[in-house]
Amino acid sequence: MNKRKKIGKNIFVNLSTSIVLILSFSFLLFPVYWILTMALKTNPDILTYPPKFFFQPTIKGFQYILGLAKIVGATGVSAGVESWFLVGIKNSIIVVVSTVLISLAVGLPAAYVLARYKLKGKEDIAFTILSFRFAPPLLVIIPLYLLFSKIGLYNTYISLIWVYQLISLPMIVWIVRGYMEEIPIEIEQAGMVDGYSRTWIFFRLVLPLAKSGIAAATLLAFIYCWNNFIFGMILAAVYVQPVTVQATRYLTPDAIMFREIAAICIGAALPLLILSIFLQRYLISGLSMGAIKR
Amino acid sequence: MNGVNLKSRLAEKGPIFALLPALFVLILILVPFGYSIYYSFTDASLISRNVNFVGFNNYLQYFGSGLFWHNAKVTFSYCFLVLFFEFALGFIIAFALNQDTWLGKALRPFLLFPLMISPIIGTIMWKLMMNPEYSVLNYILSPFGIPRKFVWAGSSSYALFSAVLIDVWMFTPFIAIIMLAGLKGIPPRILEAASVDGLSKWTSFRKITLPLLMPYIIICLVFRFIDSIAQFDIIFGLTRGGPGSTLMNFQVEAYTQAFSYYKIGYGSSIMLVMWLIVYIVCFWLIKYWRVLRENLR
Amino acid sequence: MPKISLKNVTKKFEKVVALNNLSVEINDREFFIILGPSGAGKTTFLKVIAGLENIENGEIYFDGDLINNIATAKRDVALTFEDYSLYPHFTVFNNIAAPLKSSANKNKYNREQIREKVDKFAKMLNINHLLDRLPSELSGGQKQRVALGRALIKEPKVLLLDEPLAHVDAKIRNQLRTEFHFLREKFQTTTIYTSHDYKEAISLGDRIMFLNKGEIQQIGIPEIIYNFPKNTIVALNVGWPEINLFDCSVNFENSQLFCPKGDFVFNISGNILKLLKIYGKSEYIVGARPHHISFSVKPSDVYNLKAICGTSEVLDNQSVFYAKIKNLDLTILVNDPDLSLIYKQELWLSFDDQSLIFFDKETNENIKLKE
Repeated sequence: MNKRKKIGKNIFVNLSTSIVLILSFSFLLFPVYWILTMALKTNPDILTYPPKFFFQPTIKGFQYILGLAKIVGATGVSAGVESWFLVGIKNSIIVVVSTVLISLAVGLPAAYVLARYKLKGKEDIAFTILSFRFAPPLLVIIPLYLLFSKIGLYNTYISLIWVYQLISLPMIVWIVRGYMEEIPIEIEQAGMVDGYSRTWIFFRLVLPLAKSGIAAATLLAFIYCWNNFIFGMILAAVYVQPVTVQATRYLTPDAIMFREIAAICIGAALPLLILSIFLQRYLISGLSMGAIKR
Repeated sequence: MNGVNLKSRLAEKGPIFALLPALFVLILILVPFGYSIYYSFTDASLISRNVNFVGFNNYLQYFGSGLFWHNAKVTFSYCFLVLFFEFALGFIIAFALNQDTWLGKALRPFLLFPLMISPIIGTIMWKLMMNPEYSVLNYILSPFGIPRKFVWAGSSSYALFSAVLIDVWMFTPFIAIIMLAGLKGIPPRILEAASVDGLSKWTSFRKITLPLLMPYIIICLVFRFIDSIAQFDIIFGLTRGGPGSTLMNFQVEAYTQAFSYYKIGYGSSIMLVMWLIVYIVCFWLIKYWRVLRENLR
Repeated sequence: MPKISLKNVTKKFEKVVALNNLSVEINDREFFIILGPSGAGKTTFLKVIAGLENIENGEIYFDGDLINNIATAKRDVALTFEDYSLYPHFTVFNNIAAPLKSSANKNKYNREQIREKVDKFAKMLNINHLLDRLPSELSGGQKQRVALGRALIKEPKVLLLDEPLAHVDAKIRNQLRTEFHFLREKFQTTTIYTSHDYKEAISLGDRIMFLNKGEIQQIGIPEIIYNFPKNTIVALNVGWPEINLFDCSVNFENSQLFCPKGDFVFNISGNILKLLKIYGKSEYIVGARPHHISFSVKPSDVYNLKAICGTSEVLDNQSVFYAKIKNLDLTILVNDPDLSLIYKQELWLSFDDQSLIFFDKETNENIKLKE
């Protein structure tokens, strides 16, 4: 096509691309922005229409959720406010980190076995492991609720860590297995010829070479577990529940504490948001690799 | 088999031991699964110690009372709406980002933001924005005819739409990122050859790009399908299934039956029905995916 | 430096038979070459000897000791892989040092000794300036040397080399081939070396085993393999350009050979005729090496087979050209780079009948080896 048409076409493409990007990213990012500002507004600024886009910020919201605020009761006595947010963060960290560590300890060898060894029905085992991801959570939660209550595991970290394996283990096994299959078997054979044991080969050859896959899988598992809500809500009570459940604690039917709710939302979301910016690479490779390698 | 002594035979079987812990952890799901099946045939309840066998009563009631159809309608309308909009929007965003403009590159790190936010937290955020008294959404959309105090999830007519909106906001990035990976995986040479051969952009899209993207599309389809059919957090967080029972999909219904009405048995039966549907659909979807993959080779 | 024996070794991958009932004896300190096309089973052969693959049937002996049940690490073999298989995340130094630090050899060497040994071998292979590099930073030839260093450093009983020169630039290949000669002298290990290049095989080997589709075609010293190929497969794969093969029948009454495809006859006499008479049959596949066919631009008594000239190429100080007698295509090699032949020119050919190789039409086997 002639030059003028081509330039015109390019401008059109660039313009429409930019419009699409601006519109879609506004849609995707506005809520985060708005809630962030809500967390920093004074109550009069929140409870107003038309909504205010310019305001004087205050940190009272964050102080509140961090347990640093004091409220004055009806009798004029001021009391400290418990920080459900911090309780939640603590629980989230304990549960999720333990879950992922256990999943790695159990899942990495399993991934290796599934990648390397010829077993009858290997693909079926692998598919079964993956199929656990498809089971609707409530299917297991209802009986587990009763079971755990009976054996005293209700409202314990152990019960959550165990149940969380259901979402983190399949992910780690599936993604890491894909990466391990990419490692040429000759490298392991060279190790055997050199006189090394299978264990050494696993730890010093296979794992280092599968490093990026392991990182991606760990990140994804971490995110999934951190963002989980339903297990913590049903199988645990206040002092064990992760931050996702704690966030709902402020949703009282009477006065809506907009600012405090906004603050806890930001607080709960912030860790992963920041993580995602720094670990983009692993996230993307994990998401697409987990999708492609089947 | 000749050439294999005890030591190496152990080495052959040894790996089973590495697999065992994983399988053991996953027994976790078989035991409750079994219990679920058992409970579904009883009238187990959270408020009574008596557990009586009732045969297929729960199932009969579920189908007979029309509750199944209502749940199915809600579940699948939610699912299809979500899939449609997420694919459409995800595709568009992926294409736009694939143009590798300066703007696209600058915005890409933020694409996954909604995905990083826990569904319940995201739902709470949207609820805050949807509050009819002070809704910033109503303000922004007023030029498009949205009334000042539009109720969003509070009305039965628009509750589904509100929930779908939140889901689309949250998971479109997932589709976009995978489609983008798929687009980047297409060797530019193929498209160049196509244009040299005189194919129009639309034709080359249909005949080349789309087929090559198929495996990615199917994967997105499977994951999103499963997740949207089983969607709990968003609906529960938004209205707990309301107003009334407008948003009662399978899982929220089962939760309500089990934990609000204390009917464990009934709740279990609902879950089993749902699981069966999901399993069958997945089975076929994955079969189709495997066939597609082979054909691409 | 053991003698290696294989007895009735069979190896299958699912339904595919990679090695079919092989029996062979490799001598102590021999430089034994396995020659064959891709897929012949050469790599499998090496892996079976190394213990990296199990066998369905048969026994393997090192110096009379059955080693079927001995793990790879304990067999004291070294193997270089076709794609080198260096540890990508180890430096060159650590790659070469690896065998010395393994559990099989633990505590045998301290740090100082390891460093000395690595330096010694690296120097010998001319890679001592690369010790701190990673494999990704090396060229094919350099990687090959590192792989060799890693193999030789533990001074193994058996050295297994899988197509070591296959992926190396032509120029380096010649250089490395010379180095192999040197290494052969220096390290008197039993060595098994696989290749698909017959020139390499003939140059380096004490004996050559020709393997095709998992079956041994022939074992012998290079001269025998070349001059007395056991069957048509060996003949086709050994020698460049490829040997000319065509059907023909013998007329014992007038001592002539008739080739149906080219519709020509020529005389045979002397020892060849005697040999054919003894063998007795009248239908054969004839093999004529390209340099055993000569030509002239003018017909004569000797040059009496009319042919049409095809394309030609000049390489170094030789020329190769193609000629066609009726329907028979022939390749001819001449030690003259200055042939000025014209496409479609008429030529007259002559076969050196005494150097023809005759193969039984049914068994494809060289009749000379039938005694």
